[in-house]
Amino acid sequence: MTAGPKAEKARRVLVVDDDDTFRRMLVAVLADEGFEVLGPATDGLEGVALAHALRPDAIVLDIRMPGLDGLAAGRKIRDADPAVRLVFLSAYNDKTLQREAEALGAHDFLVKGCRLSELVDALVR
Amino acid sequence: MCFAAKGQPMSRTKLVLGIALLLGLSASAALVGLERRAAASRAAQVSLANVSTELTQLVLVPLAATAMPGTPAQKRPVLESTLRAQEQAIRSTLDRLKRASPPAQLGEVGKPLDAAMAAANAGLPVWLANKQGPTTIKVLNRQGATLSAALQSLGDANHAYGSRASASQIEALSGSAAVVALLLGAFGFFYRRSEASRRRMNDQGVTLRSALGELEAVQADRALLLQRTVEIAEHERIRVAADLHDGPIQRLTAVTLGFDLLSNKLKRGEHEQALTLVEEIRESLAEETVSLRRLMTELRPPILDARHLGAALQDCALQVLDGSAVRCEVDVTRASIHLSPELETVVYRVVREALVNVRKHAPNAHASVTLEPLGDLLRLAIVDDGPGFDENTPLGHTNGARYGLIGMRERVESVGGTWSLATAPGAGTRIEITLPRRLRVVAASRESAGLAA
Repeated sequence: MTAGPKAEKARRVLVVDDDDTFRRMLVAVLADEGFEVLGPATDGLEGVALAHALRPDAIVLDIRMPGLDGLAAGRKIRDADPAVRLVFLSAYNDKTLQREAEALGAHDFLVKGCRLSELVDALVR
Repeated sequence: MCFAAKGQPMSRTKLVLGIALLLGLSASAALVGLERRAAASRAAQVSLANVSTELTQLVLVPLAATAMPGTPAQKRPVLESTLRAQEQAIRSTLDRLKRASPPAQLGEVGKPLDAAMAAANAGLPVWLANKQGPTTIKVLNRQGATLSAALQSLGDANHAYGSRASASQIEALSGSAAVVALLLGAFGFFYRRSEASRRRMNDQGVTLRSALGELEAVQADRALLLQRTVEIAEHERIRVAADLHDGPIQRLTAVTLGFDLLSNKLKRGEHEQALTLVEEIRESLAEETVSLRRLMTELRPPILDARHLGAALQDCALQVLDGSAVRCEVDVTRASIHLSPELETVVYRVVREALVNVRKHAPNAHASVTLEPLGDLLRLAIVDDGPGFDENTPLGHTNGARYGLIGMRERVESVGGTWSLATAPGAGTRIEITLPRRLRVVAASRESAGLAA
């Protein structure tokens, strides 16, 4: 995966996920890790809007969401801000989706259930 | 004239009378001759007509073999004797006619007549055997052709006699007509025999075609049923996959994050916060267990295997209507029958879907669920006295309720059942389905398997 200019200082993170339980826990964990958690957004469209408005260093994106899915949202966000770090965190682990994420310039593609350290690494490495 | 006038003349009157007498006698003689010739012609024509009749009968004689009692060996001498007598009568009639100044055409009768008689003689053993097949048809054709040719010759001769005595023409024509009638009768007899056989074959063909058509229709229905079953199963898999994604996977992955967080807090010695987090994680896992159990129940209600369909429907009503004002009676007492697992699941899901609708759209209604035998079928009725609705309301204006009805119907029809809906605004709702009954052995084998497990 590529590393953008903000790769070493991704401290402001936008969370985009439609599942309340997971999103709430993710926000709590990232905050506990010392990140400034922005949002969160509950679907792709809201994610695009908040990304434009808040200009985060990194965005953690779910893929399967109502309305605009994570990949489509990530593409729009990337078009508007090529420097933002995109980390996909999905229940899907399909290779095709991983390749699509890579193609649009995502920094990493993680599967939900991964260790927290992997997610933190993806955001700050 | 002049002599009479000069000498002792004859009386003019006597002369005229004499001449008239001579003319009269001549005319009479001529008339008598003509009448004799006409009578001879008529007699000849009658004889020829008789020959035609006898010839036709001659050809028909072998056919009598099929109707006569007795074995072929017993019939043969009787029939051969009849043939000989008939043939002799024909030949003597013709000989007599030939001797009495016959017309030229009479000479041409002999050969076709011989051929017809030979064909009749040749047909005897075939008819005695009384078998239907190519040989019989060949003989039949041969006899028909020779008889036709012979009768044509006789008709020509008859016509020749008629031209010599036009007064006899009508009789000749009558004779010809009789011959034609006999000919048609003879062929009609043959035709009926072959026609009866053909009709039987046609009937068999119609029956076969009908059976084939029914078979094709059944195969088409089965193909359609299979296709719909596959479609429904595929939709079911898609729904289950979505449910797994949106439910258990999200919650459990959240739990893994929670453990990561818990780990951090314990490392930092934040025991109070850690305890709170442990409680949250525990609550989350408990919720997820409920969620998974619900999904499992939708796939296959465990009570169906633990108890029976009646208990499962009672349980379903209690679960779905719990906390609502809907009063519901479940009556499955008359339907004490084991269904196949597929049918049990269909009944359960239909009832569940219908009761969910009742709770949603008729929250104060009185409802009933009745499952009862109906001949070889089972009838399930879910009835409520709620507000009902307009069946013609477009799909988009029913908040998805109609999609549930469509799914219900497809589920029922996919197992060969029928589904009907009766409702109107203010008139309640009645959903009625009929299902085929499966053999008891299907359920018994499942129960056996369950016990063995």
